[in-house]
Amino acid sequence: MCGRLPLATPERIAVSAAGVVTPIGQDLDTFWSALLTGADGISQIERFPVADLRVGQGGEIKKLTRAVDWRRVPDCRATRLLVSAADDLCVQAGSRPLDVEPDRLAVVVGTALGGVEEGERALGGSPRRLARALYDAPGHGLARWLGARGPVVTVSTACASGATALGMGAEMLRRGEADAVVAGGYDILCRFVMRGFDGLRSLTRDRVRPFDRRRSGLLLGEGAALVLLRREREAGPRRLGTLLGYGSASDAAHIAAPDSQGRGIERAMRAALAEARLDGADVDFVSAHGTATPLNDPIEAAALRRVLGARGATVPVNSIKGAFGHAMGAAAALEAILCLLAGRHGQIPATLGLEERDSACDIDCVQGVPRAHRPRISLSTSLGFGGCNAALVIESA
Amino acid sequence: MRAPRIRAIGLLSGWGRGTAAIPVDASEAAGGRPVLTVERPVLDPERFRRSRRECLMGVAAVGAMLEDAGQGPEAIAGERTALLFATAAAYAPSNREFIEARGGSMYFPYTAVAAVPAEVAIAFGLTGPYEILVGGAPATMRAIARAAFLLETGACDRALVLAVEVFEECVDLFERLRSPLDGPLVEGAACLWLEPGDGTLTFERRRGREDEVSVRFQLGEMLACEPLATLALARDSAGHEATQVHGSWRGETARLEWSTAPYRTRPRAA
Amino acid sequence: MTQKEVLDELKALIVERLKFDPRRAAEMTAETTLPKGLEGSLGLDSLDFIELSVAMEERFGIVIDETESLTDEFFSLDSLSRFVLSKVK
Repeated sequence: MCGRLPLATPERIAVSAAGVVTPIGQDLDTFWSALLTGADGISQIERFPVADLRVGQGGEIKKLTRAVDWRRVPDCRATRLLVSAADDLCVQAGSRPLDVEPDRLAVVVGTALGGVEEGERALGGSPRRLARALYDAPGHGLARWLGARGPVVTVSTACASGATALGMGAEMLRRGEADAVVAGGYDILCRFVMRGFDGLRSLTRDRVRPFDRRRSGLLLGEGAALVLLRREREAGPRRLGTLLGYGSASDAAHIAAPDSQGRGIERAMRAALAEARLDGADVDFVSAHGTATPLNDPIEAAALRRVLGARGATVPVNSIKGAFGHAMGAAAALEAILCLLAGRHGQIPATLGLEERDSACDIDCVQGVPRAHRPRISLSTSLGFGGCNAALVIESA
Repeated sequence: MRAPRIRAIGLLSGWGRGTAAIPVDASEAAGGRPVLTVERPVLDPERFRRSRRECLMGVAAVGAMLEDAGQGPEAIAGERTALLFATAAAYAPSNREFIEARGGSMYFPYTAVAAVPAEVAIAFGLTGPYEILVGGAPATMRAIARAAFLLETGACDRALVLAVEVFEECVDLFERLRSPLDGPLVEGAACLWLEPGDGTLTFERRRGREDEVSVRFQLGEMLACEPLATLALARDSAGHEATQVHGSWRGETARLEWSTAPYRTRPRAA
Repeated sequence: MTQKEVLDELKALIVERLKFDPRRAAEMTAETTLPKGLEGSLGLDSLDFIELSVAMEERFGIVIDETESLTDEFFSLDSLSRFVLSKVK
């Protein structure tokens, strides 16, 4: 497993609050009830042309509805999604601005696409937008809106980015580089990424069916999800849970396909559990990557079974990608937030789109109706282009 | 945190291979050229037929690092090697070409920031911890600090910190973002091999530009490659490891300092 | 179109779109196998096959159903050129 033993148990990091913007809800409570009721966030994309593509559907946020003064925010969709999620986060945390010294408030965000749509617009003739096309631009936009003057970090491990951001944020707190970290991920649905995945023939013309034997591909979505991390001893009683562990690993297999045995995601899960000082047998809920591609689901399911051990066939699993597609940089952060909400409310939402389990995916993915279950220890898994694998271990409050 | 030991450094830049060709004054040496480029490395053409120039530069930088260490690729293969990648803009040419519809379907995965480290991981069989930061010099310094953390916690036995920057395909765009007084853009690919060491490493950042003389005056604008080039220069010219590196990006300045003072772990409450 | 003409077009696509060396293409015959994992094959992976499918659709004006398993058709240049001919007719 690992080399030498680390020196001490890692300091516990509390998740004090969370904020989201998604195609099925623009605040935490609406997001949660939409997942429970099986709301379908997939629609025909309207914001940009898709008529020349094979698939024109996705998890599109039609209109940002929060009462934010958008005049104070750059006209960049990615930045605006981040600000929307941050606005929800502040409401959830009980103060806007957040109750942290600005110099001690850090921002760590993960993204697969960064400001690429600004790049599309800049090349189309708006040079002003060029600076916003750099992948770390939206993260800095978020920091400015929050009034954060601490470190601002952008990570980009493709679809695992949200998890990497949370792991990095936890480490920054342990090292004392900040007193609070706003960590999470974002990405937008744009023509660039739709052309990209459409060209790879990865998109389904049916619906997203994670772990279903009829699954035929993914759909893309957009969103932003942020959590407020603090050192547990300073966090106070109001919290959603604790971030116990984070692990990452590289597949070193293929630029766009996962390792066929799922060895990378297995290593990431084991590393996260090791940091949490836990075992696969301690996990009682999995928020899976579950993209519904023919390739991903059985690989992930097999890796989960190896890590979870004998109980693995009966640990409940969920994939939120059935509800609004793959939100890329936001996905891992949303999946982590789902773990916390499941622990708070004592229910696991059904995986939308899953109707006929694939026997090659021998895991207990909740389908049809929500299941009453209050997880104590959850595992969230993410796999991304370039062989990026990441996992988080989360304890409910 | 506990300071890692620098085992080896590999460096390619628009100035040439290694540190020998790095000038004293970048603007003067550039002689009006806006960008100094790195030629597409010549590696197995069929194996790397799809690979973009920036990916090959990453692979070549690791090759140079191994040569510097006097080791073969088997010395770094496997799950006990962490790979950390930092860049401000290596994804720009691939994104531009995709936006302008000059690439085929199979090039879409190459627009990911992860494409460069992925090609490196595949080429050398690196399957350990894997992290990617976006930003200039501070991002690379943070990657080094992160590597030190991974080494200290035993998550890996060695850590490679890789940085790549390419500008040629987008020089017209970068010129629109810069002031006429800026030095030349200098492409680069560099890789640092870190192992557990002694002493103390401090990583600090603050708002504001650098107040110390910037190494950019000598190196040119190398963005994320700058800290690794600085470390290589300090080692090759002074014959000893650099004790400190600093750099700035987007109004933030970061600083890494190696000290021989023994690192003491603070006892933590259980 | 004859099979030889289709074969030559496929070789051109393999150079142009999959970035193989033209000298390598000159050595390819109908018997040349394509998928990775076969000894002596061109070593094409899933990404190459997607790119080749898109290129073939554009060059020959055919439609390839991505949900169909085309493992046999993509086995060699011979099987692939026959597949194209069957679609073009």
